[in-house]
Amino acid sequence: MNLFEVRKELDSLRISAEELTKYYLDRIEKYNKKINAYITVCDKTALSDAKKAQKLINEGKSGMFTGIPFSVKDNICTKGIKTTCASKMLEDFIPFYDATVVEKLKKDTAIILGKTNMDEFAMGSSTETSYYGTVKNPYDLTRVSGGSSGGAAASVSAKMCLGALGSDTGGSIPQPASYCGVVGLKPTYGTVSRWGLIAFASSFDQIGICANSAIDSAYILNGICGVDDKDETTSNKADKDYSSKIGMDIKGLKIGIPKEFFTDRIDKSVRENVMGAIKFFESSGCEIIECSVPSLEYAISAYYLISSAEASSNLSRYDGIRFGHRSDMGDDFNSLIINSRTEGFGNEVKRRIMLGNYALSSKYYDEYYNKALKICGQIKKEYAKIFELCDIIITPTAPSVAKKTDQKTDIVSSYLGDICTVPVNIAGLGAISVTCGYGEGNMPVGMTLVCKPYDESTIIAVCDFFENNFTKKEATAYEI
Amino acid sequence: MKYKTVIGLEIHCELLTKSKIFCSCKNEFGKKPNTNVCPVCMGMPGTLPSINKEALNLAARAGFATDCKVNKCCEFERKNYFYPDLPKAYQITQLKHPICQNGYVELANKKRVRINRIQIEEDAGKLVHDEDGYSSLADYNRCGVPLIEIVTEPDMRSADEVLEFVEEIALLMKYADVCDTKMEEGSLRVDVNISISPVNSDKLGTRAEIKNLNSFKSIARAIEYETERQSKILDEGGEVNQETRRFDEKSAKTYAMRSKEQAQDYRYFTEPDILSVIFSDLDLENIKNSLPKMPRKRYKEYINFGLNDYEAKLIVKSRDFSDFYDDAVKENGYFKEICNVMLGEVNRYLNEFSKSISEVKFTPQDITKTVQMVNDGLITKNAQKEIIKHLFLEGGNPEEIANKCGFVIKEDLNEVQKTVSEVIFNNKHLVEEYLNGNQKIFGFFMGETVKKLGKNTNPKTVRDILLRELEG
Amino acid sequence: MFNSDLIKYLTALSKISFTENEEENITKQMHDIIALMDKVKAFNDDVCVSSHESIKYENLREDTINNDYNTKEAISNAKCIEDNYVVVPKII
Repeated sequence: MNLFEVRKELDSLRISAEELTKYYLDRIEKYNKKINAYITVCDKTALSDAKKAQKLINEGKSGMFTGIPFSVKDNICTKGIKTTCASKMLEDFIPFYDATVVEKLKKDTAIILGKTNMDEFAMGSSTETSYYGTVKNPYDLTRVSGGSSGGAAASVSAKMCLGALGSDTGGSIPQPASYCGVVGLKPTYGTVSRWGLIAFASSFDQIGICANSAIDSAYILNGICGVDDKDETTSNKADKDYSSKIGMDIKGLKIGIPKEFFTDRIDKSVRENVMGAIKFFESSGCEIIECSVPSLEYAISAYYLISSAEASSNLSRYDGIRFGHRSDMGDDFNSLIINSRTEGFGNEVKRRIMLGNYALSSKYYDEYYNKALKICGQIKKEYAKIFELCDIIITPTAPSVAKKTDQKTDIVSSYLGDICTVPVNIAGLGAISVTCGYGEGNMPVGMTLVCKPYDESTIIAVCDFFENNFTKKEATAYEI
Repeated sequence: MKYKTVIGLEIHCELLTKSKIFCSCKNEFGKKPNTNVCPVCMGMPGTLPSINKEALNLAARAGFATDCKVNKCCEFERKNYFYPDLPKAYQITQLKHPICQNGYVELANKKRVRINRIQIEEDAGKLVHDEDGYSSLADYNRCGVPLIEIVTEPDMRSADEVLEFVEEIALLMKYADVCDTKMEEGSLRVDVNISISPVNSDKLGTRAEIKNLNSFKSIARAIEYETERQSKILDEGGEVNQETRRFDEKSAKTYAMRSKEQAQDYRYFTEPDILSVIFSDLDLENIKNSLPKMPRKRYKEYINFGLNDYEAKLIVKSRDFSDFYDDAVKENGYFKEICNVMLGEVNRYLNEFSKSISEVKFTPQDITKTVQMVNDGLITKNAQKEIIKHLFLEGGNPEEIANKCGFVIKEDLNEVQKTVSEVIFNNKHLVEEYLNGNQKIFGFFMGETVKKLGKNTNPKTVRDILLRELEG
Repeated sequence: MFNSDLIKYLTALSKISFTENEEENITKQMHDIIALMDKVKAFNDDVCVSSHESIKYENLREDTINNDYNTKEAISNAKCIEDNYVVVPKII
C-alpha cells in the first residue's frame, strides 16, 4: 500500500490514525531491540498526536500526512524531543525549536514515531560510529544497515514506519536504502530546507527520504520541499509536484552510463544486477549512452577534504558551554572545552575534525582545500556535460551489498566505499536509489538514478516504472 | 634618533538596523542578559544564518560615504577561533570579497587617508566577570549585532591626524545613518596599528596593534605611549615585536596580549551557508542616491554663503543641525543672520536644556521668520531673543508671540519725528560738533531718542529721521 | 611528514586531546588518510574556477524583528547557569 492508499484508508475511516500509529509502535516495541533503528521512541506524543489527527480526519480536514507515521533521523531537530546525532556529545540535548521539515510534517499533523539511529554526526557509512550501537540490517541481522541514515532505511525496511526523513552528505541516504532494500531519495541541493538539520558539511548536506516506493518518496518530498527564509541556500526552482511525471512514457529516454562506475572496484554481482536493470530499460525503449566522469578518481579525496573542513568548523560549537556534554574536569575555558570535546566525540568525528583542520590550516590550505574546491567545480562541469546529452544517469549505489557487522574495514577502504555516491553530492544533484536485484547473501543491490538539477520528478517516474516490473523480496530476518 | 610614526586603523561600527545580522532578534543589548537571543545567535545546532538586507544597505552606504568602490558581488567567510563570547566558535566576516574597497577621507590639510576596505561582520557576546574570580558569565545579547570594519592604509603620521580621521569617519557614518558612533557605548571602536621607523628610512617598522580603543582620549594616549615605547626599544638597539596589545586606561600604558608567534590560525574559508550577494547597478544607484548631502559638500556651500570656516564647521558637525539650517535658509537666504541665531541663541538653549535640534518645538521656518521680522524692522534683536526663548519653552508662531508680548514696533512716525526734534532741541550745542565730524555724537542722539520712545522702537526709523534732521 | 608536531598542532586547533597510545594510533591513521587525500595534488587545476552560488540583494531578508524564543528556552541546555547568564570558566 502506498501513502496515497493509506490516506484513502484513513479518510474513509476504515482505519483510525490511532490504530495505525499503535500498529507501528507495536512493531517498534517488538523489533527495535533486534534492529536498533530508533534511538528515541516517542510513544506518548505519537499516540496523542494520532488522536488529534483523527479528530481532523473526522472533521474532513485532513492533509496528505494527517495521521501518517514517520521516523525522523536523529540529526534533525525536534522541539522538546532529544536530538542526539548519535553522539555522546548531544546525549541529553533537547532542542527548543523544530527543523523546518519537522515543522512542515507537524503542520500537516503527521505522526513522529521517534528518532532514528545513525553514524555519529552522520560521519560514516555503516552506523558503526553511533554512540548507540550499530543498526542491524532487516534482511540479515548479522549485517549492517549502511549509513549514515541506517536507522532511517532500516525503520522503513522493517516496517517500523511508513516513511523516514534522513539526511545525506556523501551518500548517506541512497547507500543504506540500497542495503536495506528500500527507496532512498536525495534531492538536489537546495530543494529541502536544512534549517534544523545539525550540520555536518554545509555545502553537501541535504535532507532526503527513505520510503517503500518511488511514489511515496514523491509524496513526502512534495510535503517537505520549498523555499525557506531561514535557509538562504533553498531554491525557488524546487516547488512543484514530484509525482507529476509518474506514468510517463519512457520510450526514447536517454540514459547515461558513466563507464568509471562499472570498473572492477565494483563487486561483480552489483555490476551484473545494475547492468540487468539497464538492459531492461533498453528493452523498454530507452536509449543507453556510454559517458564519462573523467575526474571521478579525485572525487573521494576532494569530498573528504571539503566535508571534513566544513565539519571541523561546524563542530567547533560543541564546547560544553551552552549545550551538549560538559566535562567535570577543566578549571579554565581551554581545558574545559578540550575535555568536553575529547569525552563527547567518538574517534571518527575526531579524525574528521583533525583532517578538516589540516586541510584549512594556513600552511596546507592551497594544497588541499583550495585544490579540492577546484576538483568539485570540475566534477560539476563534467556532470553538466553529460546532461547535455542524457536525461538521467544510472550507476550502482554502492560497490557491494551490506557487509557483515563483524567484518573489519580499515578507514581508507571505508572512505573509498563512498565512490558511487559522493560525486552526486559534489555536483549537488538529485538521486534516487532503488533495489534492482539481489546479490551476495541474497542481499538487496541498489542502483542510483541521477537527475538534472531539480528534475527529481523524472527519476521518480523512471524508478516507478522499474518498480512496476520488478518483484521485490520483503525483509523478514528480524521477524524470526 | 628621530623617528616617524606610521599609523593605520581598523574602525568597527555597529550598524543601525532593527534586527540582528543573521537572525530576526532585536538589535539591542545591554539590558537583561540573554533576552535578545534565539537559536541562531546562540549558535545552537542545526541553525543557519539569514542575512539582513539592511545590513548590506548600510555597509554600502558607508562605502559611498567614504568614496569607496562598492562591489557588485561580495562574499562571506568564516574566521575560526575559540572564545567564550563566540558561540559558533567562528565569526562570519568578509575576507577575499568585501563589500567596499579603495576609498578615502580627506583631512583638513588636504591629505587623503586611504581606506583599503569595508567589510561586514557579526559582533560577539559579552563576558561579565563573576565574583568568585574563577568564571565569566556569558551574555549573548550582543551576538550577531551587525558591524562594519573600516580598514585604512597606514597613511596617518600623528595622533592628531588619527583623531581628525576618526572624527571625520564618525561624522560621515552619522550623516549616512550607518551608525550612531557613540564611542562611550562601544558602537564605534578603534584598533590602532602603529609602527615607527627612522625619519630618513623608507622601510616600515614592525607594527603593534592596540585593540578596542573607545574614546578619543584613549586613542591619543595609546598612540603617545606606544610611540615612546617603540622609540625606546629602537634607541636601545632592540626590535619591536609584532603583537597585539591592549590599552589600560588607568595606567595609560599598553600591554602585550599575544605575539605573532602565538598568532592564531583562523582557517578562513567561504561561508557555505551564505550565498554571494549580488547587487544590480540599479540597487547600487538607488543606495547611492539615497544618501543625504554629505558634510564636505555642505561645508563648501556654507563658505560660499559667506560663513567663515569656524561657523561652517560648527553647523556641519551635526546632520540634524545642518539640515535645520539648510531648511531655514532655503526660502530667503539670510545665511549669516540665521547662522548667527542658530550658533548663538538656539545653541545656547539647546545646551541649557540638553536637547538636540530634532527635539525642539519650533520649525526652521519659525527661525527664518524671526530673522525676517528683525530685517523688516518689525521687532528688535532683543525681542527676537525673547521670541526664541518663548519658542523653546512653549513653541508657537513667532508673529503671534511678537504681537501677544508687545514686541512689534509701533511705527508712529509723527511721534518719532516729535521726539527727534525734542532731543535735537535739548542738545543743540552738540549738533555743531557732529557736523564737524564727531560721529560718536550720532550714537548719543540715537540713544537718547530710543530711550524716550521705549523698547519697541525701530532703530532704523530713528536713524533715518535723525539723519534727515541733522544733515538735511 | 605526519609527525607528532603536526598532530600536536592539529589537536590544538581541534581542541581535542589524545593519550599517548591514542596519539600513536591517530598519527598512523592520519598518515594513511592524508596519503589518500594527496590524490588531489595530481589534479591539474589550470582551467578551473570554483563557483559559489549567489543571491540577489533584493531577495535578502527584510529587516524586521521577530523572536519567538525566551531566555529560559535559550539557556535550557546549558549545564551551568547563574542569574540567566551562562557560566564559562575563566580564560587563562
